[in-house]
Amino acid sequence: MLKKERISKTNIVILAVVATVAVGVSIFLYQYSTFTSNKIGDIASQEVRSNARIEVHDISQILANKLQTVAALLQTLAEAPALHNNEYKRADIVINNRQHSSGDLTDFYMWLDKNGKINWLSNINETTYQKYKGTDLSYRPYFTIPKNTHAVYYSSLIESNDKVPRLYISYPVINMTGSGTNTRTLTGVVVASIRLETLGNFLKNQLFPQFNSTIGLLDRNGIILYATGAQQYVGEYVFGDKFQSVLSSSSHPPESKNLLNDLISKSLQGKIGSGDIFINGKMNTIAYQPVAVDGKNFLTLYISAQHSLATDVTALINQQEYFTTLIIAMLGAVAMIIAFLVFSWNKRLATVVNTRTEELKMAIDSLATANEQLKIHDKMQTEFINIASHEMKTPTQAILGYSKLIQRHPEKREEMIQAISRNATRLQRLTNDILDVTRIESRSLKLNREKFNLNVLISDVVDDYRNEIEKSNGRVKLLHEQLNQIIYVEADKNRLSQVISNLLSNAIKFTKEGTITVEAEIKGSKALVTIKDTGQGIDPEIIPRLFSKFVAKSESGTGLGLFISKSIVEAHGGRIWAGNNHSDVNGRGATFTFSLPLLRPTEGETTAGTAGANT
Amino acid sequence: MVDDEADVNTTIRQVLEDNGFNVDSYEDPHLALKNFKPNYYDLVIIDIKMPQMNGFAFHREVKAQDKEVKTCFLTAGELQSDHYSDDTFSSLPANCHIQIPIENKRLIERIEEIMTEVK
Repeated sequence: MLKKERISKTNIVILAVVATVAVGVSIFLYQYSTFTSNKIGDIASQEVRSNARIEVHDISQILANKLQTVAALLQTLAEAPALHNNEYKRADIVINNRQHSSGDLTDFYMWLDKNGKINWLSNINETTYQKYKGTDLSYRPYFTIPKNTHAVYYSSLIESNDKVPRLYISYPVINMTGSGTNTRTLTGVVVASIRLETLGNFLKNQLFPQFNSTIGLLDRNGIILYATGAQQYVGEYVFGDKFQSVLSSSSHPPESKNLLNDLISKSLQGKIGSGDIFINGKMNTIAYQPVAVDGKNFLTLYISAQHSLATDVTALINQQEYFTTLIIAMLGAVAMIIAFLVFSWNKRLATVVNTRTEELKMAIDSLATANEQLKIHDKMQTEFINIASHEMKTPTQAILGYSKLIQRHPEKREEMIQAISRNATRLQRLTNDILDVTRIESRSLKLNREKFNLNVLISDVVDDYRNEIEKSNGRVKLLHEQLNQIIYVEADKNRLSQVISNLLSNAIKFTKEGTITVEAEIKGSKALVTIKDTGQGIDPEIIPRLFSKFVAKSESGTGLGLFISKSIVEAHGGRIWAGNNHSDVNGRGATFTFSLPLLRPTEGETTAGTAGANT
Repeated sequence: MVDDEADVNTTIRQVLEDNGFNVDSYEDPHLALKNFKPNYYDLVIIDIKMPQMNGFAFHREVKAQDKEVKTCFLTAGELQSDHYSDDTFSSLPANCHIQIPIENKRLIERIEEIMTEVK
């Protein structure tokens, strides 16, 4: 249990470490990825900013050059002799020529007389000439201002008579007849007209197509001249209600409207610059630059570019994000696999350790058992030596003592010789017992089997003992009940009589007075021999060990008799057992029984009925 | 003397009597105790291994009746055996026991030794 807890504690620590590392690396990768994409975004924004500035600069230069060209064409037209000499036919060619030169921007050229009335228009025929001839345009600033200043004039937005919004550039036609200021007389004004639509298209074409941007153009008064995709606001004042209201609705966040207005105010003062403003929730860079012609700010140009990354860059960032996610997922998976491996390894190790521990425990247990058995064996060995010593020395003492005494007491000669003989027999019996035990333990007890009637053998042994008993103890009766039965067995006669003798002598030893009954009977395939006495019985304590070596209740035995008897019976394939006749009352005697396998009935029947009763 | 082995009893008694000792001998220790006369015997010879009563128990009973009487043990077994691990035996003087078998002459010598030495 303790081990298990320790293992799971280690597992938790390992899991925590793996998880921490995985989370740490994931966070790092995520930060790195975010940093990289931000960096890419910054670089892209920087690119957008500088591109917007470059674009606004380039386009304003191109437009300025174009307008300069138109101004130059007007100047040459104003100096053309045909106009000075009022030669309409020639003037037509010259004017058409100018319109042809700047046709990609200009709508038409027009020649006004000194009173502001139309003298001539480019690309007109006789019919249209008649329609416009003499139209009074003297109220238009493009006439009045050059008339007074004798200089080139760039108009702000003007809605023409035909309702088309246009810009105008005009140049005075001065007659230089003499010298000095008084001689400069105005004979007319030449005007170039630019349609806003044409201007818008011109600007649109100037935009680099790959650059995702919109273009805007204001005149110097803040009137919207052009705005990509928002032509409905052309002609509106940039700070007027209409445009401002649409600005309010499209401004996220609201403060971006003020930023935009500040930017426009600044640009209208003729400054060059740019600003980053959120429009519709997206970051835009708006770059502005005035379009200056002859050192004068005629128009203001705006380029607005959204900070959106190019598709492939976005794809790349997406790919990197995907890759990062994949790496994090893989890290997680690897961490899980490592954790799983560590766990299963730990588990396997624990199993192996447990198995080994179990094996060790078993080994220790079996060693302890073996040790215990050795101890028991040792004790038995000592016990054996002690008993053998006692059993040898006692009769030896008697023999030794009598053999000396016999000379001194010749009158007791017979008695002493008998005593010597008795003790010698006792020694012999002991010697035989010890030899038998040695044979049994070395498994070299040999049986000389022969076929005989068990009842006859019992009779012989009983007869020997009966004579002995009757001589010494008249109060014990020995009975052999043969029940007229012949019991054939195949056994070692001497060994079996040894068993019966042993059981009988035990019975006699513990029976001071009463009856000892010996009985043989057939039960199934077995012969049973019972020796029943009415003596003191068996001490219940020693019953479980009764047939072991050195278990003797009488202090005058070797404790080997029952062990030898049991070994002999078992060698014949039989069994021996014993018990007290009455469990509660001491002194009612004991019964010893042993069984032997019978010879098959056919083998025994031939001699049936020959035995007689003998008690 | 008390010894359950009749022949040992007989031979030793005979040897002692032949050498001028007066001997009361018993095979049953209980009977011996019953007939024991305090301040009467010079020496009590006790067999250790007796079925009716252990020699040491007998020794205690005798000493209880006669504190001053001299005692010695008769042993046929092995001294290393558990039978001799009794405290009584180890508390007694080393030469207070007689190992049998013993020659008659030697037995008398040992008895005389014990009579003079052992208290």
